[in-house]
Amino acid sequence: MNTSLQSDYLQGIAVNDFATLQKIYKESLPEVAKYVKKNSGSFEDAKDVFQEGIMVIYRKIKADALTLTTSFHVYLFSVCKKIWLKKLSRKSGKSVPLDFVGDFASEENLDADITKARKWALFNKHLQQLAEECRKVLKLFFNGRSSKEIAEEMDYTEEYAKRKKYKCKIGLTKLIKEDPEYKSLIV
Amino acid sequence: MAFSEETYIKIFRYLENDLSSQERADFEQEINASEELAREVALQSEMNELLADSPENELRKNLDTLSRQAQDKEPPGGFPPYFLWGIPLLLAAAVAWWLLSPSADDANSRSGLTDSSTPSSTITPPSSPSSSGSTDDGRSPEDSTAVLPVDSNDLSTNGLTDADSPPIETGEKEEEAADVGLSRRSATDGGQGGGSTTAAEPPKTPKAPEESKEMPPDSTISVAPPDSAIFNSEELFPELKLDTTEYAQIGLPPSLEPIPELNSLIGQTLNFYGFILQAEQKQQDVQLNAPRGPVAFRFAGKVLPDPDSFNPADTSVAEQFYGFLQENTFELQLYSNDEAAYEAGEPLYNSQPINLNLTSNQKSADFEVRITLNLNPGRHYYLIKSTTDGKIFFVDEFIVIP
Repeated sequence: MNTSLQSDYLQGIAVNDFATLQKIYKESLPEVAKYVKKNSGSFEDAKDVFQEGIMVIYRKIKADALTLTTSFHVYLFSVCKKIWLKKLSRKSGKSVPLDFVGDFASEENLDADITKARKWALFNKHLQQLAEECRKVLKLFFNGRSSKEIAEEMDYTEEYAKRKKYKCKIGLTKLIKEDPEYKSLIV
Repeated sequence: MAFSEETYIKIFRYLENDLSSQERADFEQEINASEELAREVALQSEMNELLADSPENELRKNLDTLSRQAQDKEPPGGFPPYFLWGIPLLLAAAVAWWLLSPSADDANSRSGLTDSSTPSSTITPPSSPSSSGSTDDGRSPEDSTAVLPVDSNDLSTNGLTDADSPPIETGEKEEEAADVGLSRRSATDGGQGGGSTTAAEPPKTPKAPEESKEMPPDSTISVAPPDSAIFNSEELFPELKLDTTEYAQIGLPPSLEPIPELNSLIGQTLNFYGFILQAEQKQQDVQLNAPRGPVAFRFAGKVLPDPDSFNPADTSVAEQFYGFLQENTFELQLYSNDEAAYEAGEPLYNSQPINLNLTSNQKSADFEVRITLNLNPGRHYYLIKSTTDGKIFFVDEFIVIP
């Protein structure tokens, strides 16, 4: 295993380097796609799983909780495999033996990371569906801006900014809860 | 369990440290007493955390871009597409053998077939643009009956077999999907991921419609194994008209590129606080008589309580519906396929709030939008959005043909 190359991949993910990500897609996605398609999935499913897999690795890097004992590609593949098996088990309502995943990923508890990646995708999908104005207000809010600052930015009164923020967030919450994916995340 | 607006506001204020110490202590007691409330507080807190701008979100954006660019390089699973061509050919050969065998006369007399009515191969070439007649949606009858080899893998990507995929509106959409052998979604997706099959024998130069009449019939529709030459699909646009199956094979011209976010909503029944919109008259694809021309746009439908959200025995439904109509207004927005304009919230057309007319039985409210617009050729979307919180209530698309 070329350790320098493996750490290049991790470093690339950590700093969101587009060229490295592109390389990872080119080198690893076909294998993941092949696996997903062989196991009742589509190429679209494979791309989702692949994204979640990279996000899981990113969080592990950031939490300083990742030591590669195998090549990066094998590790990424095993993470993706586990994600896909979990999705399949949710779809079928049957549990899939996770020890089938392999030696690498099954040793670690990836569940929390996977759930977090899926929640991000769900929340963000519905945030993008909101009207531009609501989206702007909520982005300001999520980034820690006070109602006063939102009011200044959006040319509102402070009271209106507060009400708008609440209304938009309630709207976003309803959208999220109506999504079938939400139920599978909460249960 | 749905929480009241008041409770939500309390949750938000709690998470923002905006409650007095007494209010906070009382609310924490409530949280401890209610698992549902505790879960809601956790959800709101997670939303605040996960939706903040962060390096993680920036990474996600790059991954989204790469995902959109990624194409399926794997050979499709199962039988190769050309296997499907073999079925009709084998059938045709079997029929021919049967008819030409010594007992053919007997066979014909048994089946009632004559030479002129003997079916040829089921692979029907498309007609030239000058073919007479068209279906309601603007496709020529020949186009709509053309049988293309269907990649079983493409079928799986259209979400029809995906339990997580949104329900497809019954009726029109499904019939349309059946017509072309693929769902509209998969057909449009094919423009991005359609590297697996390309059209064979592409024309080297743009062909005028007159020229296309003389093209060998198979040359515009037959599908070769991967890696054959690439069409300039923009040049073929006028000839291909609306057969999205063909676009899926050769790639889309820019004016037909979909906006993925909107396409993912087409055909879904979007529930808006327990109420749904049923389309009764959707805008059809239209053909222009000039490079840019007036298009008579019409969309009609009704809003009604979602049967899945209300108990039929609930006598307050009518009252709730009336309240819903009083409190909510909707507008129609029309976009071209310009994704940037959609993301910036800059539609080509934005209606006044739509009039919802309560029917005499008070079980639904009808509406109709009629406008005439000058539109360029290409894909267009129309959405019904809440003017209150911007939630999209309905999305559909139509194509303006040059």
